[in-house]
Amino acid sequence: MASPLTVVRPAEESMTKFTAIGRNLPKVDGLHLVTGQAKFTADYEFDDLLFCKILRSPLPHANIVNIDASRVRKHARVKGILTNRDPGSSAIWEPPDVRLLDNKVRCVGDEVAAVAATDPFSAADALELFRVEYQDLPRVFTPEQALSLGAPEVRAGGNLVGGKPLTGGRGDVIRGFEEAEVIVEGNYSFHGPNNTVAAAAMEPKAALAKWEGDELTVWLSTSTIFKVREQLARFFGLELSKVRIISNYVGGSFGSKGEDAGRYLPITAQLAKTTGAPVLTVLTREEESMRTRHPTSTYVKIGAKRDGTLTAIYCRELLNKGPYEGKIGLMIAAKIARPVCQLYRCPNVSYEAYSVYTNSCFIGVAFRGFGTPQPTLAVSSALDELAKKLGIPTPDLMRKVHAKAGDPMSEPGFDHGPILNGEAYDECIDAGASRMGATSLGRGQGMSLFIHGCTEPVIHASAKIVVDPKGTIGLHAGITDQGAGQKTTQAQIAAEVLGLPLESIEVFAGDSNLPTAVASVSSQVTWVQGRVTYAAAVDAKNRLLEAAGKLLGVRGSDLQLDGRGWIRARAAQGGKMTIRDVAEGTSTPIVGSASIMLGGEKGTPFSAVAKENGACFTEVYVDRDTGGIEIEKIVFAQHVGRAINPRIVQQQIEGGVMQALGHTLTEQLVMESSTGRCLNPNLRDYRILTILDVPEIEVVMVEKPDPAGAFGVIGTSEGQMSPVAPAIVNAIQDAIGVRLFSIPITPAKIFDVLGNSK
Amino acid sequence: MDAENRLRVSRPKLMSFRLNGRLISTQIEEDRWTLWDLLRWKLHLTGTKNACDRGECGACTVLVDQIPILSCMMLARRARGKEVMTVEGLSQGGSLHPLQESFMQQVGLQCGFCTPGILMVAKVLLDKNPHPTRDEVKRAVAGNLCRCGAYSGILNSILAAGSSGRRESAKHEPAEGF
Repeated sequence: MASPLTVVRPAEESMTKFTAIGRNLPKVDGLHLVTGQAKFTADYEFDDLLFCKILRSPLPHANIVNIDASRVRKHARVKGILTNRDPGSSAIWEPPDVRLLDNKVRCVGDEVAAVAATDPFSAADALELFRVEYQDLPRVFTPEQALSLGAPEVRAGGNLVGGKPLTGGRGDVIRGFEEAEVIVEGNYSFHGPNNTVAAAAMEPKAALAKWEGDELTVWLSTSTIFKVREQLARFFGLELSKVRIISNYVGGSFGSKGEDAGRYLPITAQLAKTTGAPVLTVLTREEESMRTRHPTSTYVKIGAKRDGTLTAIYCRELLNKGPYEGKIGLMIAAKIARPVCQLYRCPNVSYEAYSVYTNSCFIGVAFRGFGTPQPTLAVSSALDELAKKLGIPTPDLMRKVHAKAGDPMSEPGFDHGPILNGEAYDECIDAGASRMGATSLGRGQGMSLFIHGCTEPVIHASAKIVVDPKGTIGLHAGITDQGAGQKTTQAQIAAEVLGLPLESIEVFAGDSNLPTAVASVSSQVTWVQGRVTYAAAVDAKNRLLEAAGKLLGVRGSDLQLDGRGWIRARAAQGGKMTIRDVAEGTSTPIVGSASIMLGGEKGTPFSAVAKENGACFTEVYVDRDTGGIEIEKIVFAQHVGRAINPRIVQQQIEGGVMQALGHTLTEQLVMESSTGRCLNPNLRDYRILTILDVPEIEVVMVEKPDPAGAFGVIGTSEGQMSPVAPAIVNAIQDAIGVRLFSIPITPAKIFDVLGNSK
Repeated sequence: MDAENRLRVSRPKLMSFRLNGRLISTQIEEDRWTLWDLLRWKLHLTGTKNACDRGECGACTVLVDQIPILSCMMLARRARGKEVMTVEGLSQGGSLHPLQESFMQQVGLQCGFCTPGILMVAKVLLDKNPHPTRDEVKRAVAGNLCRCGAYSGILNSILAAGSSGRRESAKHEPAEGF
């Protein structure tokens, strides 16, 4: 299994000029993590801490006729109760724009009531003491059913989110298909219509809320501290300055711990308010699993000339939304544009995506890959079929049809500008193809390209570099690190600019009282936050040199940092002093700062958005007698812009591949179709991959510095979720001559298609 | 049993055991407390993580009489008279265990939530078998889930810690291949 570390750099470039960039340095928070000192949300303690548990609906769709909490109130250890009858429960929590506790439940697991007790066991006991009377309502679980005439209404206003499909494209697809000499089409299912996959971060989501007067502090396992601060301030009618979010250590997120993480957070804060005591909620593994990726059904049709030139792509996708989070559902649905409009050069493109409310117990929210894996499965599979029909090897067809530098990359919501580094695809295809070798009997090879964006539509990012009087350097920015190494990578950027060893940078992060930073979502921290960290470090450096110049009686521009903590004159003669001497000797604190606002009406326009892109190649062995499959090899070649810390980047890529592999082969949250209940919300029956399942994975990082990123970086951590499934589908097709149209790919499924094809 | 009555029938119990080398006496508040509950709520050791609470992921692994045990699955009272070691006990006396050094140097983690459990399993492996093969390492930590997928880093870290006693120079070299 893996993983010689391969970095392909532009030939003319020498890495020797860097001291911190491109180095496999240990993580800045490693010591706390290996000693158990790292404080995750559930590790904070207060003497009067209360523990919250949430009563959840056993029914998929029902009116709450009555909640009798009289027995709960008598429990000696219960200190607070929240039902839809209590003050504070009717305020709107947005997203998803519903009451904190409603008079109606719309899925199994929907929040009904909550208690706060002096210990977690008593809180769980107390839930059994509620008597809730429900009035059952008709329910609907699949998008097809939910869109049919007379379907039960999941949300007032209709089941189709936004009232119309999300559409887009370019050119004229009807003419495009007329011009086509070959047409392929198919329906692909990503765990659709009503099963799905789980983010399954090891740390369950947790929130600890504490009020002091009208000031609210929340320790939270989140990747979006500033958005959550806004949500809470709005909910409680507070100034932003009255709400503080602290998130020092987060045990994995994969998108699941953003502002759409659910109502457990405001419920916790509300109970803390009514009880006057700090309240901690830690979700159970079952609760943790229920907000996740949208299952989809995707129809795709592609037309091409005999030489492989694409003439038309049409794609239609149905996303099962569950009953909530419509707004983010639309943003996710919009990512259908990535594989359809951005990845390939095709003049005529049309897509439509239907994000549909159902009573599914799985609520579709952000998840690593953010809507790109589902359409990529469909489009990459169809293109492989096209290649087979045309008699062109798939890698050769991909070389021909991938987007080239300068091609447009628009997607609903914002303009990405033209594609950069389109030639990175060729390098990634070459890197992958050259490492695959010949196949033998029973084996097959497959590949898929991928693209993923690294930003949200509007971003505010700022950072400060503070040189304290003792000469230590603090990097202050409210970023969170859920394991992807954001703290370390930002510190490496600052260390490089200041010419200091990494150890001399102290990172202050994970607190909304720090300068507003980008959310740790969209693989954007290194790309966007890196820009302001870089600029703040340059500012701090200039101020340091200026201050040193004053003390030494020379111009600041005649001085330089020597990389070992000394400031020296550029000329042979001239003074020198340490950073500490300067910090002590100067009368005003030395603070470098920078901020940017990207996108939106007032912000700086995106010149071009960095895109993770590349190619995934796989080889599989299929046992025709059992339907069993072995992943023999995966080569993952990815354009990374610049790897600030190659080992961290490699881990991001390998980790992404492992998750995507699980989604493709072994993982599925199964919903019982009669009740809307999840049958396996745990870590045994929901089977994530172990160390024994790691196949041979070779990671190739292609470096093509991006003009907008500090030192050329782009994001790297989500693209893996898209191409693994289609690359395996294509490899299985290569091995047995039969195409699969749905994941997960189980031995039973392969056995079935082999039987049917005989 | 009714939820209302559970408290009435359960009485706090005193218990002594050795924790990270020190003999301690403590009180188990309720019969249903697991060893993890005791460590977390009574002894305030937060290093041992609970990720699934039903013995499926390995995150809460501690050592009981030198055997890796899922602390979320063992009733607290069964620790009476035993010797329990948690991640906090790995680095006693101010110096890190070679495994901790190695997990830092080789970056054998991403979010670090599964790390304490893996360190405890790996400690037992290396105590018994100072120079394990790749397969032996993989089999040892097969019950510890890492959703970040840092498996190659975990493997390399344990191998490097295993070899550090034998070849000091190899400590900081990343091991090649899985």
